[in-house]
Amino acid sequence: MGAYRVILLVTLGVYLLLKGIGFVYGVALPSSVVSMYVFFTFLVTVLIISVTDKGALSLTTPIIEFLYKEEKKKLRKVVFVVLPFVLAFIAYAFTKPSYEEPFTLRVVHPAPPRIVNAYDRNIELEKIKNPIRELTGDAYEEAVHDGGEIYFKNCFFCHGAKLDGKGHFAKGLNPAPLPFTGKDTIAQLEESYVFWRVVKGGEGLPEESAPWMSVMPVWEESLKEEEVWKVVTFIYEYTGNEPRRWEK
Amino acid sequence: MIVVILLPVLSAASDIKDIYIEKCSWCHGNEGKGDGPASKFLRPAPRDLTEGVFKYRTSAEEKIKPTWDDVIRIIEDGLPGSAMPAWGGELSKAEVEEMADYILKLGKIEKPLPISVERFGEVKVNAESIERGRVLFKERCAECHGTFGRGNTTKRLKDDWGEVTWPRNFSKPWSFRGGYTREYIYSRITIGTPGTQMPSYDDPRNKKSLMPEERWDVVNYVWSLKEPYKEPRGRDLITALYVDGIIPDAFDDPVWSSAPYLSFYLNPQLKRAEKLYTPTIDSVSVKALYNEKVLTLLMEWDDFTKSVPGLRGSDKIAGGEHARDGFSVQMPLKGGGEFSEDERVYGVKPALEMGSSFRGVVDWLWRGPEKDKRDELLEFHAHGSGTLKEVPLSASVRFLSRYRDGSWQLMVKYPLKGTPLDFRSNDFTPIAFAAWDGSNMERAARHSLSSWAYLYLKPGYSFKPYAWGLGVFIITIIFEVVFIRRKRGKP
Ligand code: HEC
Ligand code: HEC
Ligand code: HEC
Repeated sequence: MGAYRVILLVTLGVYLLLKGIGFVYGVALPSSVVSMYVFFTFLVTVLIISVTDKGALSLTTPIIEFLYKEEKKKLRKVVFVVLPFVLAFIAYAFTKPSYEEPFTLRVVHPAPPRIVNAYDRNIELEKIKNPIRELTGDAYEEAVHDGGEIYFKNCFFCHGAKLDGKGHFAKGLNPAPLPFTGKDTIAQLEESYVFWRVVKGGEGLPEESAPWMSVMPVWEESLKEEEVWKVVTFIYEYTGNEPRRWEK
Repeated sequence: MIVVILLPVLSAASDIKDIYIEKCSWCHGNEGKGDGPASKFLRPAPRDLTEGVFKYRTSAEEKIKPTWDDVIRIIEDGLPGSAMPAWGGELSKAEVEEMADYILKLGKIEKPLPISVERFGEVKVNAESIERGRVLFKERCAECHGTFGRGNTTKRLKDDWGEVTWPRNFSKPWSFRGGYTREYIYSRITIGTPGTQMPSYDDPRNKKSLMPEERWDVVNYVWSLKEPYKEPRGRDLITALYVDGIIPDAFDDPVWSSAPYLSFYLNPQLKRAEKLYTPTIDSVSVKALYNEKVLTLLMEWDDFTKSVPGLRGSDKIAGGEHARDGFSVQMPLKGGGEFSEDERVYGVKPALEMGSSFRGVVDWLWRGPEKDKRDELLEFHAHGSGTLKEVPLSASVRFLSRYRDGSWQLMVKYPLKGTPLDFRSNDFTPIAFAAWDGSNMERAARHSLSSWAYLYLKPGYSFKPYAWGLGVFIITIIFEVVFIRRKRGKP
């Protein structure tokens, strides 16, 4: 395989990979990041190839052939005509005042703190358990129903009457309220984590989650601890999800 | 007591009442009386299904019964613009049909159900029909819907359950309960909206009634009133365009036509105490221009009422005591922390509303007029909740406002230098908006607000990039010529 083909394939591969990441995660990587990686890939591939004499030769020969060989005359003419335009355009594109929308990478599920100060005490997240899960029979059902009432007085505006994150006041919220339905939402979280998110809300998130933006309220201010556990149990029951547990 | 079964595992096979309890009872109540726990927070309120009133039916004759398709549509598609969700994806086709039967039973409505209202003499959309419709609309509908259909009513409207209702805003197609089609609008005009003051125009004894062709003319006029730019599209970059020259203090100046509107949803404030559950303002459209000296923002939002406390007409529509209208523009305060180059260009989004101790916000609050008092613009700074304080208005920030046909327009002019922020070409500034409808008793924390967006000052025309392009073009040609000449010289 020719050296140029290798360079082209590797660079293209990296480009597609980076674009693919954006595609899979639903947010495109900013094009400045993509072009930086692609440029370095190109540079490194060229360097690696030119380390050996043979490699260096395989890089220069095609250029010399292109410039001097009689058979390449036609191609040469075309390239000589097109080249000034291409370079002029690149120069224009580089100096044109560019604007790319600011890009913020947000961590939606950051690592929780070990200790949360809530309800006038320090709560060790690893240690707490959901007291509602100790109940059985009618008492449990009733607690879950209470949780439903709490949900439909406080949360459904944003998280939705179907718990799908599409409440009637969720339109245009950025960050958007998270859904609870589906197996890739609260089913992936421990109950104590969900408890922390509800109690401390958007403002309780660490810096990497851009705490300045989320409108998730701080429920510690208006719900009792038991009520929070009830509503947490409710969102699991309604969606048929099980909290994540770390079996030892 | 009803035993509530919440386990979804059971619901698949269980009967329709369990599904009703699981999905619908939270709003419509266990017995369908419209008294579920959520009902107190909703306006329009969830229907009392035992009354058998279908506001959004499209049936002919038999005045009270809906068509079968109406019931199915309402359950499957929900009622856009209200809290009633679409259950189509959630319930299977069979479950929807069972649910429809269940709802009819709750309302004591017996089959057979009537068919849809007949739509005679359709008149296609054309300029003459729209013009005829405009004249009819002005006579028949404008007192409630406003001349341009933005819902700016001239009187207080209540439904049969004693709740305040606001007429539909025809410039916002997405808020139509039965979907936005001409056929649906025709049915609505023919039947009216049961349970509300929206009248039927089919009744020959009604002096204001309309012949079918006239109804189509009105439909076509209503159809022409949509203003699609008002629908937010999820983009959040407001581009301020550069103007060479002055930006006049006039809303209708042609200079504004070059700038496109960008629209944002406004959601009620639900984050801290004094929450607002039933807002009336749901979106704002913004455009921006700047020149060497000033940045000018033009905001437009629909408000059913011009709320001027103390003025009789205004008091009447609001139903008594009410507050002033308001609008605020919020941006981050610089200072109080080190800013990297990136942060200087892109700005940092502080906590919405009040900022935080390390990142403050500046709020420019416009307060609408009051009896014997003009509207005014105030400036506030905040560094976290409870720290909001008024400061003297930054020098030469000026404003201009007007209320017309159901829309407020507000123009605010900021000097590029001299406010707590410096606005520079090619910079991004986080920006957020909030609105208060005084007639809806919105004041202080009770208001609607947007999420953070960005304001970008797009550089004006510049010669530089073209000079670079031309230079590179010429140099490349020189190299080529030199190369070809040297090659010719060789054997
Ligand atoms: C004003 C809108 C709003 C209300 C009301 C609201 N939330 Fe939230 N909630 C949000 C937003 C927005 C997020 C996403 C936060 C983020 O990504 O940082 C969120 C996130 C969450 C999360 C984190 C989920 C996850 O996967 O990490 C939980 C749990 C949650 N909310 C529960 C609740 C409960 C329970 C209530 C009612 C007591 C409630 N929320 C009320 C807006 C709201
Ligand atoms: C989040 C609250 C909520 C839930 C849950 C809910 N509804 Fe509604 N529903 C409403 C509201 C609010 C209205 C009134 C809307 C209006 O008047 O504009 C309504 C109206 C209705 C109407 C009357 C339509 C008409 O033409 O007058 C029917 C029928 C209805 N709902 C059925 C259901 C069924 C069936 C379910 C469950 C599958 C359900 N609703 C769940 C809030 C809800
Ligand atoms: C007495 C006041 C009044 C008059 C007059 C009136 N309307 Fe209405 N209209 C209302 C109200 C109030 C509503 C909202 C009812 C609701 O759904 O809660 C409404 C709703 C509507 C809708 C509702 C669409 C939807 O989302 O279901 C249409 C269309 C409409 N009106 C058209 C008209 C036309 C056309 C005329 C004149 C021929 C007219 N109205 C005259 C008060 C009025």
